[in-house]
Amino acid sequence: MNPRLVAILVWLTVVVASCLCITRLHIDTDMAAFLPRAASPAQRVLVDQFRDGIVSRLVLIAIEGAPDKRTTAISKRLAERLRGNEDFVTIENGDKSGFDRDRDFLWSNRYLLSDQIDPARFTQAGLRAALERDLADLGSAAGFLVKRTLADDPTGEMLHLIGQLRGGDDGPARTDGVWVSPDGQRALMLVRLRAAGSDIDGAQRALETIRSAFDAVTSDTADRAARLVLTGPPVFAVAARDRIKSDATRLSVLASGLVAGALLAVYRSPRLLALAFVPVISGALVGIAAVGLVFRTVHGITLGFGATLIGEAVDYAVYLFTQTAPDSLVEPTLRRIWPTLRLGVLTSIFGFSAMLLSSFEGFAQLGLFTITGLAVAVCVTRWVLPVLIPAGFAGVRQSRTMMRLGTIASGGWRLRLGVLVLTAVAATSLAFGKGPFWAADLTSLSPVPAAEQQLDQSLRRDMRAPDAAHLVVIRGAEQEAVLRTAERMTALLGPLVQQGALAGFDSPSRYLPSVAAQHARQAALPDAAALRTDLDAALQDLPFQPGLFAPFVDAVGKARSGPIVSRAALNGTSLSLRLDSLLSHRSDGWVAILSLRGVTAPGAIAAAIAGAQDAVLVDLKAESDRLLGVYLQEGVSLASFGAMAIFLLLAVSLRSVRRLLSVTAPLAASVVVTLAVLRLGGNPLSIFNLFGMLLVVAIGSNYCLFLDRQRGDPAGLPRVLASLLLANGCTVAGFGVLALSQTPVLHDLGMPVAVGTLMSLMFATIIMSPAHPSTPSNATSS
Amino acid sequence: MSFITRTAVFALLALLAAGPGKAAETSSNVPATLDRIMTALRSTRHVQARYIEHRYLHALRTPIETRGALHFDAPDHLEKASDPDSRGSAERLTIDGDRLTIDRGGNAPPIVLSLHEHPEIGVLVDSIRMTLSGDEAALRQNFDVTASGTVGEWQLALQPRGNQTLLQWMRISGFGARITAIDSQDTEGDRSDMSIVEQSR
Repeated sequence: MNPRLVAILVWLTVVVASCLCITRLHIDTDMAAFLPRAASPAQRVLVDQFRDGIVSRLVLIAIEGAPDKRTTAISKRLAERLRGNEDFVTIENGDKSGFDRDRDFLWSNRYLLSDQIDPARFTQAGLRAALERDLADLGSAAGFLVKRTLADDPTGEMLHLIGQLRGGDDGPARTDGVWVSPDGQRALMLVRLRAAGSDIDGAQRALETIRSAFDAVTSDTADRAARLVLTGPPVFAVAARDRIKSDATRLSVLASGLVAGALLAVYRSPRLLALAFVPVISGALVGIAAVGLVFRTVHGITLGFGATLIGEAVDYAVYLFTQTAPDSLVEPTLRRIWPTLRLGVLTSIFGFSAMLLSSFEGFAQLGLFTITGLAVAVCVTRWVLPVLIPAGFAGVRQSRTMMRLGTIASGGWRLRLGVLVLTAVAATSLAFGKGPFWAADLTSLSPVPAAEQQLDQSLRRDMRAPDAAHLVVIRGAEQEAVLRTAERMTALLGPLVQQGALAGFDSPSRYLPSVAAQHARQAALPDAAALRTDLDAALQDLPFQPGLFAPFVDAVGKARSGPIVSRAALNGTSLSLRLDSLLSHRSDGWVAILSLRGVTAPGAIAAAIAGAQDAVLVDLKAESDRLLGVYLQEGVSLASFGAMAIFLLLAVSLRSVRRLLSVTAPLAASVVVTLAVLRLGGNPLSIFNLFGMLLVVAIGSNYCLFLDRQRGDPAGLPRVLASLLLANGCTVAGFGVLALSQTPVLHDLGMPVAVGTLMSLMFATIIMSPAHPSTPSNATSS
Repeated sequence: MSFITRTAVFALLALLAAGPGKAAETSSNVPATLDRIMTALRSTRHVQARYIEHRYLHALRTPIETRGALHFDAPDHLEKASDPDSRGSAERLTIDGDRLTIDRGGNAPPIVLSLHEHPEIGVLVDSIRMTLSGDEAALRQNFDVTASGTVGEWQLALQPRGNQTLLQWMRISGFGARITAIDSQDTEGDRSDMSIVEQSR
């Protein structure tokens, strides 16, 4: 069969198959893909919490702008309207209307829930101590707290349970019984969505519900001034998705338009323009399909960013068209530039392969997409384009501009010293620059703009939201096992609270004690006769009325023989939600979480729980910083790995130290200068900048290779230069547009690539300028 | 319910009342009216006093006796600090604005309550503040008030109007701008008698 026909058939088959694949693809916008596949249990907790933990469902609502009496009234009306809506698990605005069920649950199960229950508590001595304390309490100003429950609960289990529940904190400030900021300007609400953090559609629906409910309750003209402020992870997730969607479309269209405009201006032929996009589009389609096959989903960022990244592939067609002189044919040109093109593509693929190994799934996707896309694009350029190019194609004419370019470039060697000085200055400023070199905070990776992060923090402060910075995480195969461990941890943490190592903590075992603990408590309760005898003895000489404690004896008797508390008993209480946040079933077993408040001595806590095999103390802040450290380390080593791979590839291909140096020197210089530019003003570098540098090396090496090959043929230089300049123009346009994005990933990658590739081309031209007398014309095609 | 709170507050009120009562004392046999009593009480800004309280609880066969100090700073700071009991433990009740704090010393964290969340206490405290500020209209809105006796030896009987209260009734006795006793009973039938001796103002 005709090899040209084969090429076309293979190409069409692959492209059509890819299209079929793509139509079934799920596009995902969860930013957690740009978190790494977490390795340690602590990191998994962190990422889990981020994805679908309780925190990921919390929305903070502030109502401001109206006179204060009105904001609190709006808060009440809004809460009223939202309650009962199935998008929400809880609506809290400070009023205690939902507390009755919780109190009933605690009251009727107090002897099973209280961790103070042990046999000693119901001996004559234990009862005596409790009664004496009651007497003191009755005489106190707090007597009203004890008075009502005295006859049923002289040992004070209910007060103990309520005290644990409140955690000693009275929550945010209140006006009219509704939460307000300390300055009274904002009314505050806390809403928990039913949708998990990863269900962005669900979050969006719930947020819409809140907004329309707010509009409905502020329809009164007097309330028109009131503003609704929403913040919290679901709000961020929805905003980030919108931003990514709009960035991906807008920027891709913009970049394509710019590139197309540039090509059209140079070629003045719509047909050539269309042909130039054939390799890119083929590469993009196959690349997306490949990502879909390997990862099952494609991230929105991979699409938006990758489509531009593959803009490098437009270069291949540009090299072919521009380097074909009017009097020559396409095929010979292709054969002539193929070795260089091939080496250039291989260089890029080697560079990008580092991303493939990244533990950020998002980056791994980008790597695979790019490698596949570039390989396909270069193959299409080599074997399909020649078939598609019309018979009468006469290459681009040597224009006066081209000649002028050649002249300018041939004088470039005079600027070598300048490049050296510039690089030295850049290196010095990097070495002695102010501020931290790397962004040390995980929020630098966050897709949330800094202003929104600040608003979120200020609302959190207003809410006095406990920063769940420390957790004890327990894993096990069974619910009973993790609850038992939680009880052991509770026993260990109690004394530490007394010692001041932490202010307090919450444990799932407070709401649902293990079956073993409940049975032990039942066993600790005495039978009615024994209790009556000990109680009478304990009451000796105390001024309590005779017969007062009969309800107590009854309650103990009921608890002793009654059913134990199961998960279902909590249904309908707000405690049920607390329990859900602290006790969950995952694919790999059960997880119980004790959330710690006001930790001052994490070392002491870690030491206390060190003996437990299945429990670990997680410091979320330290862990997230450590995670970022791991990313950075990984980023640096992957980037070094990529650079090393490129270097080795070039060394093997060029087989000349001199050529190797002249190809790599411009790249090194442009990396140093670009880093210095990024660091201007003390800006810390992000990990995305680092991957950007990898792209600079991958793309810039193409320029160097073409210029290197051209040294033996100064006459052809203007044409090659023109092709490189056009290719670079496309790259700068594509990535420069990314730099406009508000999404850190896109911005931090776009900026360095736009700057760095331009530098690479300039430096390569200057360093390899053939007119320099000391440069022998010894270049041979390898 | 906090009839303790209530008594404390009334005690403080009493102390306030202990303000400059010259006019009243000069004409001590004039019949007392709410207006006259309010006018006298209104002038007091700071009060310091001692109290003795007897509480009769239906759970106990014998009354509980406590002693301590009362302190008031206008407009809304009230304090009742008990003397250490036989075991050396004392407590301090403070009401500041909306916030009621009971600090029982030792390791126990103080009990903090919002009066808004506890309207049964809130109504009471509000009413006392209305009394202290001489806001007769507001007091009448929340209580059925009866004044009796003379300016030299008056009595105020208060009966709450709303049902969000644990207070059954309260009787405040005094002379001129001074309060000498606060007796009350809660809806559970428990009673408290408190006598007050002012020390300074």
